[in-house]
Amino acid sequence: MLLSLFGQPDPDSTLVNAARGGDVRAFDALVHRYHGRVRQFVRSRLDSAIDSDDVIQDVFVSAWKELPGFRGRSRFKTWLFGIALHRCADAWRKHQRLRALLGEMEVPFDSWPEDTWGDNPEGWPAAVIERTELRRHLGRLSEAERQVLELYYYAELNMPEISALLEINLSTLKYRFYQAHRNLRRHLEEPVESPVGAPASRARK
Amino acid sequence: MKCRHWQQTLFLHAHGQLGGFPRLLVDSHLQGCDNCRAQWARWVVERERLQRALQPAPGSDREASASIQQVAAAIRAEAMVNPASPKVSPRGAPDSARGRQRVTLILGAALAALAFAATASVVEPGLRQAGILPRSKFSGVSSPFGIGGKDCGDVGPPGLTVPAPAGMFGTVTNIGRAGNRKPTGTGPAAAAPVCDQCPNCARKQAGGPTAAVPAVMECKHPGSGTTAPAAAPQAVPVTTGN
Ligand SMILES: [Zn+2]
Repeated sequence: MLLSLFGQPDPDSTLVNAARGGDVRAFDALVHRYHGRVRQFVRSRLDSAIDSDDVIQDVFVSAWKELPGFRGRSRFKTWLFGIALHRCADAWRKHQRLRALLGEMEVPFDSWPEDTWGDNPEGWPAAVIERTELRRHLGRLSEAERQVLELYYYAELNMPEISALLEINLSTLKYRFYQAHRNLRRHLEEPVESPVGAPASRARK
Repeated sequence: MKCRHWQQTLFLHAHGQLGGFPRLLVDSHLQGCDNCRAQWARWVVERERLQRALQPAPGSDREASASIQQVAAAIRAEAMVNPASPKVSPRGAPDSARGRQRVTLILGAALAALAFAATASVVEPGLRQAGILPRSKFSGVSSPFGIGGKDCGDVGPPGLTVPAPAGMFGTVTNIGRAGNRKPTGTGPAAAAPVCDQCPNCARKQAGGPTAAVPAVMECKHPGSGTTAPAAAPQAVPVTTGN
């Protein structure tokens, strides 16, 4: 079993090694394992005007193509979310350029609706309302703070992994992590400005 | 330290990001401070709420499955277009895996060498006694790789000199050229029998600088009759290749 830089055994090592040998089915298993989290992560970072499924596909195809370069210094999951982070940034830049070409002004960030539940929050289960509410407030944080929380909660990476991925000092990261939670708490305590389901105003750089 | 100074530390503790001494400090403070304990508990509740709420959304199986199928199709298309895509290149194996392979190879080679050496040391004297192998000036525990020298004191090409006082294998005493070798055996080898014909033995008799002549060696000169019993454990230089 591979040991990552942080001494953790990588639970994906068997599948990763098989996929490196060209085993497409082993890679399918990795796609099944991480698709949900990657999808959640990509959707949390992108405007609903961007086709998230295209970006998700791009993430996994890139991972497949770049697998020979994966050295096992991190867990496969950490490496995969590093690719997801870059693909989201690429998609966002492309989207912004397109908007500029079309002459659109800065428009509010339109987050992805909850799967299955549609745009109308009436009749949503309490858990879905809470999730939507949290996602909306997450969208009010700064990009740097939101990025850390998304990698921690959606991708379930630990602090040293996030620190290595974002190339920031661990102490700085921990302080940013703390500040993000404090600001999120502050937003959650503020009186509700718009009903759940309405898009939070946010623009990505 | 006032309670307000504990806030970030309490948060990190609630997220399992503290270890060692800082964690013990917080633990002991929490035991005696109701206010900080309440703050800590609030961070724990918020963390659990976020973890629960930000899980991949349930009830999205149909959409997710369509997306997975789209990914799988794209991977297959990529594998068709570029079948060499993810192949294991010699330098491409994960570092830890390559390291393990290397260690396994080295260990395997070392074990094979040891097994060969042991077999050679047991079989070789018998073969020489039986006349199957030509008689050598070395008998008993000799160079397992069949590297012989030109004279009594010359134990072979430069390499590792390993005295074996309690069997075949001992500590590496010297690494370097043959001329620099200084066998450190202090056992019976120091009082090894010498002949009066070979130059090395002659130097030894004259009190000049010589390499210690192991007792298990027998002098090749006829009539010297100085063969030590092979069974006695002796300090024998064993030269291995680099
Ligand atoms: Zn206190």
